[in-house]
Amino acid sequence: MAAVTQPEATTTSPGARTRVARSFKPRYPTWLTSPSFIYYIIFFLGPMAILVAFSLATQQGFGGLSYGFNIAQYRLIFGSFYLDIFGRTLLMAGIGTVLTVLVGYPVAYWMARYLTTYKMLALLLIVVPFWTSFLIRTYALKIILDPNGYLAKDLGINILYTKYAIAVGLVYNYLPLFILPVFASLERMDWTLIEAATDLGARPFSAFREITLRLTLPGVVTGALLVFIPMTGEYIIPNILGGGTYEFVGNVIGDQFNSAQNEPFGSALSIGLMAALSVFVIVYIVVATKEERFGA
Amino acid sequence: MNKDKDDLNLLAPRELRPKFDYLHREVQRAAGHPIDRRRALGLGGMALFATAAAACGTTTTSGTSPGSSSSSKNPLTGKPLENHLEIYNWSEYDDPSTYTKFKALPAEAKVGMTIHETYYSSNDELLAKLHAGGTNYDIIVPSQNAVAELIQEKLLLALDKSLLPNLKNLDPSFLRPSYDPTGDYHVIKDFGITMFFYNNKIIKEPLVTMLDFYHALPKYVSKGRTNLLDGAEEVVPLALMAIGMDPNTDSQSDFSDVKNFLLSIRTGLTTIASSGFFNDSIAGKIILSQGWNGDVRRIVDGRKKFGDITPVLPHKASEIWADNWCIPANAPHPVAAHAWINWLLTPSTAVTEMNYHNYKIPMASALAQLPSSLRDDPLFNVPKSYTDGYHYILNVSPQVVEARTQIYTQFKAA
Amino acid sequence: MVLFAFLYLPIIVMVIFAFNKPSAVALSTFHGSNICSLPPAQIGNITVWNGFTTCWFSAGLHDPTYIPAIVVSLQIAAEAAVIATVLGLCAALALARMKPRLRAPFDSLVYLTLVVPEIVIAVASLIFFVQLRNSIHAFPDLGRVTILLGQVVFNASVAMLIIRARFVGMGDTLEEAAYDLGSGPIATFRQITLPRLMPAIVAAALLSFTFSFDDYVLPAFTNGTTNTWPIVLFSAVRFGLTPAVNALATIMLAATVLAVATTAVILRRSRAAGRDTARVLDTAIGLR
Repeated sequence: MAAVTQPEATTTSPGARTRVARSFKPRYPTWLTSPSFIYYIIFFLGPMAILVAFSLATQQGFGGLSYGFNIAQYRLIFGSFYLDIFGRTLLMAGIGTVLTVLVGYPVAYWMARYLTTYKMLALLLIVVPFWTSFLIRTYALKIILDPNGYLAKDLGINILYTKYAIAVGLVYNYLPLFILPVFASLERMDWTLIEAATDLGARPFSAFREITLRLTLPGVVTGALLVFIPMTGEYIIPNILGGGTYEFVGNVIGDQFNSAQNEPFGSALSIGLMAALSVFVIVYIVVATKEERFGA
Repeated sequence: MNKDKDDLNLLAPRELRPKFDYLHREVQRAAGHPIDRRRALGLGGMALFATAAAACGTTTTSGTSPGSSSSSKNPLTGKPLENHLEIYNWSEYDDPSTYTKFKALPAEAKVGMTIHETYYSSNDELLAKLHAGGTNYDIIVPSQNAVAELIQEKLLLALDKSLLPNLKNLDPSFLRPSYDPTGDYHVIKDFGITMFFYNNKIIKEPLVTMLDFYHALPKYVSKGRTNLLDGAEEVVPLALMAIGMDPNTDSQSDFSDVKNFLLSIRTGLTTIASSGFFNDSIAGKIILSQGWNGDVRRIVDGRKKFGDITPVLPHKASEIWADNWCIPANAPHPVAAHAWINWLLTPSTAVTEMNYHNYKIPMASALAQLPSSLRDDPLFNVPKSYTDGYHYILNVSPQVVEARTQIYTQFKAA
Repeated sequence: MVLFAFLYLPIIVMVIFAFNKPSAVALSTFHGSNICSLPPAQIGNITVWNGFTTCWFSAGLHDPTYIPAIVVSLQIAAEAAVIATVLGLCAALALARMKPRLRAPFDSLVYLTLVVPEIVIAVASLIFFVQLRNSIHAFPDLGRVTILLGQVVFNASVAMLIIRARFVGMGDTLEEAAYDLGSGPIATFRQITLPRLMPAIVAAALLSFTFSFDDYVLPAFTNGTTNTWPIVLFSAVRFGLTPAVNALATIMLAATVLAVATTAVILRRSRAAGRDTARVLDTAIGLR
């Protein structure tokens, strides 16, 4: 049963006693969180505990470990070389995210505002290309971007194997991840507010900025975060479209786990990356909770 | 409502209290001075947890049970043929008919042999999976550097030679290579070399050694796409060989030399990739690249009409590599695995395989049956005058592997 | 609109190349009857157009590894979508209106799951599952279940965030109104909250499905002997992707387009009904 709090309601009496506002706050029972909570504890914290244990262990033989409390790996990751790679990765993911937002927001806006009957259809259409494998899609992108190919040669584009190609690949592959949450947030917006604002003399852009943008910011931030974070761990797309000439944190971690089988170092790197990303997540929490306090 | 301030208000059942008292006492004794109960239990708990983790840990990482080291007797003789085979292999690496014909062999057909294959895309993936355990493959196909490492870690089954009568078909010089000196843990599947090729309409100077190749990279990168094979275990040892050093060295000064060398030619590379360069080369998009001999052979063939690809078998040093059939120590169907390897060692199968993947299997009787277009092609049948000077790259030790990986990372990031 | 063109360009390319013949050079030395039976290493350059053929479609459908892998991927993706969306929905409902202090540990956990690079959780999960299997024999071997378990961690967090963003923005006025009118909590949920949350729920489910179907890194480590579609593709890249792969992807695309079209028709009808109910309710409460 949802708990419905009901502070004392006073009936108006002709004695001018102040009426206490009734605040119904339909809450859902807290135990609803327990399925996910338990799930996370077992299948997420379990492996994470192993990760932390690895990062503090020392390598012994190939892929073997002796557990202990060895923080040498952490000292290593603060060497300027790895920090460089961190920085470069965050930059790539940042630019990729910004581009995705710039491309995705208008689409989501258009879908939410101007499509009424075909909303679900558009949603599905956005997602359908992504049910083909991302490998095939990325290789198809490679064909498209080929400087000797038909399209690229006509348009004079020669960006394959450069960072621009990677940017295109990233945006292309992460667009639905951004559009869907933003759309979900934009969709419930009350467009009559805009009408009202313009009726009252506001210019369309100010109306957009003050009303739409503000109200949908949490959705945008959710989408951006959802895109930014996996991008930092991305190494397959940069490999294919960048020709393997760019090195990001994902490559390094992958190499450490796969090639060198150096789990302690790979784990330390991962935890370092996670720590860096947490900063962004904290920003998100601040923004999101602010929205919740103000409600709709 | 416990008045004893040393007591934790644990929600533990009363029966556990003596155990906690014991833990409390032990921790205090270990510490040498009285500790209040809460802290003692906390410390004790952590100690227990750490030991548990360590115990779990050692089982994780010690690989599989000691079974492998035993067998110099024939533990498999007399065991019946199982009816399933689990293969972990590169994709598209064997002719489909090899599988169907194996299942149709009399002994296998009688037990209703079934085969299932899972794929990996790199040796590292294979190694990572085997280390983690929990998988039950019967046949794996590691390259030579992985074989050496797996032997060291005791993750491979010592082969029962009595179940492999067809071993006599192999060229004896391939039975005890440097990566498996006893010859007990592998059977060679095929081998090849690492070479390079260039577009002779753009590059007019003769390139003869691998060092020439590296030096040519910065010179021609502006004229077209240049490529290097990727992977720490390829890039670093190949470069070491090019500058005249031992590819399996573990000396710090060698490593710093090769790092400087690699960084000096870094700008000469458009791409660093081992997959995908094949199609692009046939399309004529690559003007200078390393490659494995089978792939280069097909590239030359594919561009025969244009005649613009010159393949170069490097003089002096380069890499010779071998893919091998091995059986993991914990294979659930070892007899079937041996039968499979034995089947691959029959000349007729070897002929089919070589026609399919175009890499040489050192089996004289099979080689004789190949079409001369293949057999006499130096890109398929690399002359001994070259291969005698080539080396196997090995995963010598974790430190060497780590050093290679770090140099590779710095190289790519430059 | 331009965007849709951009989105679909690689897809169109992919479809076109599903009909591509092996190169002329490769065909010149081939004497069999079915040109699509050439092994990938021998089909020459297929990134340029060599001519039209449809034989890759049957080659792909008959390949013993592709179809089972696709089926497995589809199954896992569907299961992951359902589980993740349910978990996310429950969590979102409860969390959105919980006291901030209670909420904090859960929130941090969720965000943590999003922040972990996939290869990291893949390796850690692999070791974890192996250990679990060693200690508890009821726990399944590495395979479909372990792939699923690993994927749901990320998917559930995503689902939770999407649904919660929408739920919070939705406001609770309608629900309050429903309570005022005497509706019980379950009925309110069913008739008011759930329909309004639908877009977010659908978005979350779609995203989970997509993500799971297309996932390479996590299954590559936790799959044991099971093959998923991305795994088959990825390992085939070494020796070369054949147009058979494009052909299969084209078939899947056609199937999904068909499904989308039918869903659109169905949705149109039910959406109209849903909208009417909502509108009636709104007027009744005088909110519009």
